[in-house]
Amino acid sequence: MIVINIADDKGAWRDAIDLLAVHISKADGFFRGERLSLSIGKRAVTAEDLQAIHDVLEEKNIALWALHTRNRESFQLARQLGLEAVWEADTGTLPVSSPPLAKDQWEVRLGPAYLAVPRREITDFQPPRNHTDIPTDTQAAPETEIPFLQGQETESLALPGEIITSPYIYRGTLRSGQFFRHAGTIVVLGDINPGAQVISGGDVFVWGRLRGVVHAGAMGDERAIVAALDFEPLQLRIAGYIAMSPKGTSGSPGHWLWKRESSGKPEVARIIKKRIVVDPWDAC
Amino acid sequence: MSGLVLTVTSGKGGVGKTTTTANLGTALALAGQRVIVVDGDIGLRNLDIIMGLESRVVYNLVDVIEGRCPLHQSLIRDKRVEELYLLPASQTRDKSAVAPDQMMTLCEELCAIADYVLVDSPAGIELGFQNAVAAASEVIIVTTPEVSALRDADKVIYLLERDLNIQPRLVINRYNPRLVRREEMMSRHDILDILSIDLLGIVPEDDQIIISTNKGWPVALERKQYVSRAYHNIARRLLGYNVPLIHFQEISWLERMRRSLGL
Repeated sequence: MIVINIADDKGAWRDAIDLLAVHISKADGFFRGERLSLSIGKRAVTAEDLQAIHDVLEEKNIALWALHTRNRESFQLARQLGLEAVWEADTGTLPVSSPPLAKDQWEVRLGPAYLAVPRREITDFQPPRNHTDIPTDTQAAPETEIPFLQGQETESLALPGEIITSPYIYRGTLRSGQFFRHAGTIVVLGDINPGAQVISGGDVFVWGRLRGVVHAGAMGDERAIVAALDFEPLQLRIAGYIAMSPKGTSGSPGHWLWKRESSGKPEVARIIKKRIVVDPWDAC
Repeated sequence: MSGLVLTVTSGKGGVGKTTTTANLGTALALAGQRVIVVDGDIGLRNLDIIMGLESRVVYNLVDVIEGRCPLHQSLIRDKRVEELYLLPASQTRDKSAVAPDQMMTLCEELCAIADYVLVDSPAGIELGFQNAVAAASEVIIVTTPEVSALRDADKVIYLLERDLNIQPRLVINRYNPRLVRREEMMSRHDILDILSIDLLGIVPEDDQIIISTNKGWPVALERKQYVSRAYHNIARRLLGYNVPLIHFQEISWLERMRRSLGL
């Protein structure tokens, strides 16, 4: 499932749809055959609005599946139309698919080459408030008594049409044949074995050995990075670039197939000057 | 009596599932257990050949499941061992003749009369495999120290963990210590590093295996043989004994000559 956020209240709905369509075309193939969740924040939508977006998605072979909203009318409309309606607590607006670091920290860690790619300003990360239960449509309480409509608004970090998702954290070893994809950052607390595949719209962090195939920034984000404690992937893809693991050159004959070169240190891969470059993590 | 169902599987073909099943069954029976080995490879019947019981096959697993004969009639007793029985597969039918729930019912019945039910799984991860593991209380993964076999074993472990919540144990087959020492074969550490499951035993590569399977005389019957010890050790580990791994040492040319002469 993929969540797409078009929560900005200011832009016109039609513009948001157009932006979304552009986004999907750019990441051709990533979304195909997927179910899609739409996050619309406080925006009030009409049945026609949803029909319009449904048509756009259907063209791309994507099913509109759920609507995340903080607007009561939209919530009920989604239910009537048979969509999965999800009441969006403020946790719905998580930061974009890059870790919430201040700009100066990025400069220190990633160097000027990384910053040469224009990067959106990231505002301070607001910790999510407690999740509140989904209201039922039968017992709609008066507006003033609903706790989750009170309190300060967190400003959405997403631009209209921008894809935002929460990071996905997987615990355990990913074995051969195991596969998942997620539109946001993926964190694997374990190994990725050869034959396993991970496709992420954002960054990929592996707290373990990376030996399978990883695709970061699969929707075209060239700023995406791949980091692992033990970095020996069979193949690495970032956005539209592919890199293969160099074959072992050391004396032992076994090194050609099952023992790949490993520095034994955490490493990070990213695109610098249209090439995938792998560096030790501490040198960033 | 309520026995345990052990399924021997691998994913990849030709790594020695059937040989392992036959020898483990024999070794467990020699250790005083009542064992039934079941050939789960319907359509490609092999286990009876390796155990040397082919000529005595009358009824098979499909006959039992379809109710053409009572269970006890289909079991072939191995006369070389105290309590070892074989339930052969059908050669004329295919995997679709049996469904996982039928296999479970059958294994329940077998468990009632045996200590250990060893199911030999076919290669692959399709219906035949699913039948074989359906009733398993424990799964033994057989792999050779080859990258391709390992890749398939890894996938099978993933399927078992996902669908049956079983943590299988590993038997490394056709291990060649000489090649490992020259780093031309994956070491057991390399293998365990990737699969990260418990190691049940290592069976070294040995000509005697080929000779004994062709004769229909499981090598586990020959206690004098060097590989035989590996199977007996695995059997004892299954029975809960703490048996250290065999320390493979370089065989001297004198020793090799002595063995080839059968001394």
